[in-house]
Amino acid sequence: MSRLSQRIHEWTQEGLISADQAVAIITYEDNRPKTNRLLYSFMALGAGVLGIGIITLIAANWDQIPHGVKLGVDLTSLLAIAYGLWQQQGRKNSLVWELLLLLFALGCLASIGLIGQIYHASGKLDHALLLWAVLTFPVATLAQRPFLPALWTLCLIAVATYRLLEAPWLSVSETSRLLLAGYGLPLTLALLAILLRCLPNTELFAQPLKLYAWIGGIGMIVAVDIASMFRLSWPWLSSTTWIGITLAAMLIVGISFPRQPALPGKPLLRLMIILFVCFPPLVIGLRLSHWYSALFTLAIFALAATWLVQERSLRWANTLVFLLGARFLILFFTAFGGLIDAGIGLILSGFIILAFVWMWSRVQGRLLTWMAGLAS
Amino acid sequence: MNLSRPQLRLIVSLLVPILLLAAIVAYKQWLLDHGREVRLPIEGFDPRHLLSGHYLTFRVDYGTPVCIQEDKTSPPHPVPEMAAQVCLQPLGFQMSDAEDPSCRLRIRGYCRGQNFFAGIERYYIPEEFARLLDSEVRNKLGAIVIGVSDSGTAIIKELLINGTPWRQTIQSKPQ
Repeated sequence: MSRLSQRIHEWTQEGLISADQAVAIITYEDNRPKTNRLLYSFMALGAGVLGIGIITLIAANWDQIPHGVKLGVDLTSLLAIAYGLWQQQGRKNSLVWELLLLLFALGCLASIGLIGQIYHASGKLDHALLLWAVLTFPVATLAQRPFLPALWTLCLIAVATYRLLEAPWLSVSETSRLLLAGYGLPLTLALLAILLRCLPNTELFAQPLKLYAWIGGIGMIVAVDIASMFRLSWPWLSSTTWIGITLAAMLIVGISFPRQPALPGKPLLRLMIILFVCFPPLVIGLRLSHWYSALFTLAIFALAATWLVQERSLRWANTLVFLLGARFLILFFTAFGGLIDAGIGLILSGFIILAFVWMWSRVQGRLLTWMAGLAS
Repeated sequence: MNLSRPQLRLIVSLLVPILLLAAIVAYKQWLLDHGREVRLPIEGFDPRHLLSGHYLTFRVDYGTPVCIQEDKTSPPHPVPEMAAQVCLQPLGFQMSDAEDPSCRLRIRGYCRGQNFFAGIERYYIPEEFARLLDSEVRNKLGAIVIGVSDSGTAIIKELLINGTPWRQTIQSKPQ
């Protein structure tokens, strides 16, 4: 018996719902199109491996096959996949539709590589990826599942980041460019995700932007914290701070916009953004001690975990709690220096954590309500 | 046949990339077939292999100094790209891509530092010949045959080793 069926059985036993309602709920759930995540993952893996295999074959530059034949087979394959998609247009929720879209997109990338190879093009990888992104954007918008839009978005972010790092008009050192990218990119991606939320049918692109913003933000916090711990002196420019402040201001306005769809925990989100914007300029720019860096890191991670609980992204919340714990441990070892002192401190901390877990189990309900009030 | 909006959107989304790729192929093939043939010596081979395949990169000897910088101090990073062109008839170099009426055959490109790039600095080679070709081109005189359009766009037609197409050179060598 599935978990849902078990729960429905329990509700029926407790008299919360009638037997007819139980049957109606089970029938409705059974008739819903199911998302088989495992099958979908294997499908994406299979299509990806197939696409990479084709690209690798092209990379071997199989000399025995005339160029005209290679190009003919390549364009004919694309047409065949396009025809398959035309046939599947009535079944856009099917895995076959997603598979064909992915194959078409990867086929376009393989075609760009093949043309470059046959005609000895000297273009850089970012030129090829940008061309691919432009060609496949309409195809990516046809996807009903997140894999292809996420892949497309990642490609565009990679190209934009590379262009920023190589921009000749930016007369700053390579380290400053990397810091600008690490600092500004999460804010930019978050801003784009917020803007896309106001447009219809853009959820599949907004979600990966949000994910990459989180990954970039956490990565930047960890990098700055490590730099502070090892006393690395990185060049921090005031212009980078101003760019961050501008992006953060736009982000906060975007979050607060009345037409913005419901976003949980807006005050928490604003506080997180402010802390993130302040963190690198203060720690790197003012060369603050690693104690401040640790406090900042712990504070941001704690706020982020609380917000993620509100948003029901429990896996990400658990990840941040894990990072919080790891940073706390490192702080302890740093604070106490010797192993004996650190060990005693950790034992005491372990007792405190276990006591907290016991208390949590007793006051969970009231505590969650309080946290919900704090977030709103 | 009356097509609905979603059907039209699907057709456009699928056909436009295919047509654009076909147009790129047609353009490059036209350059190959109709471009004015020029032979230029090359130097500085650097065989590599990436996901895109095995290829040689080299510097083309245009027979005239290119990308001369007055400022000899260290260039900023990254080095800015500046549009430029090499005139092959008569021989000369210009630090802009504006058309010069006195130039009968030109190759457009850009300068990055002291290097001129015209999109003809890379030649893809089959995987099975990479090692053999590497040793050949390092020791021998290399040249490329290119096709040049009236607008100055160049495309590589052939790689020569000692005046012979590279395939003939490889095949004449004991395996």
